[in-house]
Amino acid sequence: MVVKICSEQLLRKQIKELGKDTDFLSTLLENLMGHAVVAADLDGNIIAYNEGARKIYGYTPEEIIGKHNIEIFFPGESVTGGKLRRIIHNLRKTGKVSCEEDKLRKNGKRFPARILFVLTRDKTGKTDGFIEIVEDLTERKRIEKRLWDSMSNFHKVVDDASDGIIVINRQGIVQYVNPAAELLFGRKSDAIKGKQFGFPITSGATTEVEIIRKPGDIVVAEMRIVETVWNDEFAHLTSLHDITERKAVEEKIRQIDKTKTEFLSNVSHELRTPLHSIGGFIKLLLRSQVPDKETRQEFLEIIDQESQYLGNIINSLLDMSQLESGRFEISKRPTPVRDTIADAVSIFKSLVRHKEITLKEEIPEDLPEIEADSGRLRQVIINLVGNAIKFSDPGGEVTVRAEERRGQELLIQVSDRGTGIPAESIPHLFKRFYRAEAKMVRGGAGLGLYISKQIIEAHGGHIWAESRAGKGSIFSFTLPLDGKGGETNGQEDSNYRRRPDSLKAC
Amino acid sequence: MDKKILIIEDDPIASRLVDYSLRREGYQVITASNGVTGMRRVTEEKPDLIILDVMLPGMDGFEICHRLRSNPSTTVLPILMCSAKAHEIDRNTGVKVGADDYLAKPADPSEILSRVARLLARKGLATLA
Repeated sequence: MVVKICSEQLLRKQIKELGKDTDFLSTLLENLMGHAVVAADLDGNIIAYNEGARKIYGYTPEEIIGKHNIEIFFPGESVTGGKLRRIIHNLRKTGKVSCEEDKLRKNGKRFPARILFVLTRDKTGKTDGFIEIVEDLTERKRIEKRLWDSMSNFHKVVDDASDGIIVINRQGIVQYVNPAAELLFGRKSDAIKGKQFGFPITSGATTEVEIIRKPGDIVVAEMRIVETVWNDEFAHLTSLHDITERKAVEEKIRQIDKTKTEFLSNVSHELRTPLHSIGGFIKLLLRSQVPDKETRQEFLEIIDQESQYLGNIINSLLDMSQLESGRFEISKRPTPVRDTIADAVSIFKSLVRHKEITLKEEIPEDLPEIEADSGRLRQVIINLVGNAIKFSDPGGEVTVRAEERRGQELLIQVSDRGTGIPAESIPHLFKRFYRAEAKMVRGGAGLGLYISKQIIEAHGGHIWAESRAGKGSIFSFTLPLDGKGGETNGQEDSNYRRRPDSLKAC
Repeated sequence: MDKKILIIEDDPIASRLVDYSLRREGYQVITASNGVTGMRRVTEEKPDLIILDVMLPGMDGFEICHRLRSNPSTTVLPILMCSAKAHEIDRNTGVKVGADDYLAKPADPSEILSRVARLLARKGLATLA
């Protein structure tokens, strides 16, 4: 037996000399190898000392037995402060004392210990000393501290987690709610704990749930449930990840994607229709299937008109691509606006005759010259007049008028007596890809008004629409007289390089 | 051969091309640029066949077709439906509302001519039987 070491033999010998119960002591000494077992007389003088004690205190039995009082194992203040004396006093009264105290090793280091003092008696039954059994708590305290630290770390992690964490017991009753979950539910932990968890519990699956905080305030969360143990009982650990924002972004992207798809489909249709007509009429002409000279002339005019239409769409697409990439620029020069308007209007002469529409110009002779990009201005007027004609029935009237207002700006208006625009469409007219009458033939790509708005705003002006159902529409825009605001002569002024607002908010 | 064909199409240029091509083949052609006028022309002119566009302002081609099929006098009137939406769903809807044939736009005049001839021949056979 490993316990049979010299110190023990010495101990046995001394115990025998003292006439003590050797069997009891040997059993104690053998079985408490991990403990420091020390026997002392009533004054505390050490008479026995085991291997465990040697390991814990660091003294050899020879250094201790018969030479020291048990005070040697206690820190100074326990001795001088009378603590040790009180313990011994207590022990003599009750026969047994157990306590937790700091003890002292040979190297002067303190350590926490659990101590059991038991009185010993001689063969006659008279109290003759005591045994002190000491358990070194250093390791246990260290583990406890580590456990405590990790527990508090765990609590911190759960408290600081951005995801909601909820523990639900087998009966579906909420046991624990972390702060993030309180935020998600918009309620304090106490208002959720002890209540039934409202969502179906499926372990392992990720589900999307809607949390209605109050009517209209809905949070979308991704919920994942795993099995766990809570207070020694089976439970479900639910984590809730707020995806409300992600959902909104996804929806926005879906909308943009849908708009782009529709746009592509519209544009390809808008391009294909005139191209097909051109092809059809050209084939008739090429195969000499149009003997009548006047009809030939009619068809050539149609081809001309259709290719112009195609050109317009392609120009709009080019403008659009410049706007999208922020390369859309205007270059301003002194511009006689009256001439620009007249020039723009003149291209519709044959179309209005054909559609039996009256096109009127009300432009004052003395309309001042302004700093503007005449080509772009012409484009806006063509767009507005073209729309007005498109939405006018035969016999209708389209008027282009201009005036100087308050010596500050020019107001230019294009009005028609057509069917008018539904009130709900007006706010969307100047948006990209918007087409008020989707079913209309030659609906266009939905870019004209959007591009017009960009051009007018680049000049520092405004553009807007008014309409009354059945009465017709008025499209108006202003241009500042001093030519200030908007872009200057092709200068690289980043402020005026236009980016579509859609990039910011669509 | 003076079969009467009604074109219901709101795009005047597309309408003109088909109109001219049909006339060259000896058909008599009448046109309408919207559903209401189209329906009136059917009653007034009693055409032998209708070339019907789907996308029309107001009443669309599907509705016109459905109405014609609900009227005993036009139940068997041949209808060639044309749509720029060359989607299967349109073709299916076209067939469901009773169109005899369906053509994706833009269609070649020669294609329209051959479909028209086939539909008229079929009608001829049906009348004989």
